Amino acid sequence: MHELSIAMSILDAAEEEAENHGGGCVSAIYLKIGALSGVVPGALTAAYELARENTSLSECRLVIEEVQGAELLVTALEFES
Amino acid sequence: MSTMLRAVPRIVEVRRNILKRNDEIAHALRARFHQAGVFVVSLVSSPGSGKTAFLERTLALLSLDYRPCALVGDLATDNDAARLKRSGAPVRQITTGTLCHLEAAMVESALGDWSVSDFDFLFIENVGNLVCPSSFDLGESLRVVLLSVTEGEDKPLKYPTIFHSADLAVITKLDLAEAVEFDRGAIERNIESVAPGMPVLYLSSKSGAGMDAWLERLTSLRAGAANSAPPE
Repeated sequence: MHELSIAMSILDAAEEEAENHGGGCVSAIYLKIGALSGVVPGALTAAYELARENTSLSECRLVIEEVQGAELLVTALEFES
Repeated sequence: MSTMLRAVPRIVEVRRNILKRNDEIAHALRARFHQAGVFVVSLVSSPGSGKTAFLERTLALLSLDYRPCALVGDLATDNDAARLKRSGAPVRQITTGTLCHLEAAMVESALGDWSVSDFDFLFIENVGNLVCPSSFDLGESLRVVLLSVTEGEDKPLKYPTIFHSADLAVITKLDLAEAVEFDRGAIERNIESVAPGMPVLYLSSKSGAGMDAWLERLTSLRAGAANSAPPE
């Protein structure tokens, strides 16, 4: 259930970082999710698909890399050129 | 050629904590609490493990010598706040609606006009949930995970993340230990395996057994924190 909060934080983070990098249309957000982060990738993907509706990132994919540890990071943004 | 080049997406590397905003608010809260000299303790557990009874007893006992207050998170009711107010300590309810955990911004807004320097201890009772609260820093100095003797000794193994994120484990409802054949050795092994070195206290909010040791630990941690450097 807290995956929805996390998904909304991802959208905020991506919008802010996109702005920091000159703006543009973000087509994918790359994440690292640690096994100890308390976030379940499948649940996060489902929550994200709801959360992105009616935002500027409504077409934006999520690419999740599962890692050890407690990381919860946005590692890269892909822009449509 | 140029169209092909245009089709190649541009990838920008960033390294950003997804919970950055929550962490920033939590860091600001922690600095504010340190400056005000208030020691902040959050409580996490499953529903029904005795958080509210434990907090009620703690507030009543601490009120003899200190000025404690509490924020309590709940999905839908203010029953807990009403119950805790009987201790005489100021208590505020945070009703989360359907949200299964507290976030730092909710703590910040619930504090509202409270002057935190008027208090020695602030307790934050999280929503009863052993999964979701683990990711969210609330600016607390001590995170206590509660587990009652009736819940089964393998809970730490089932919910390692929350135990890993806590600083202290408190085993509650000790008065029922015999009836449920509680296995103290098993719980200690299981906690040790997911949170090595984490201290464990045993108590009964009902009989009061073990409350002295808990209060001693609280007051000595508060004294230690007051003498420490401000958080980074």
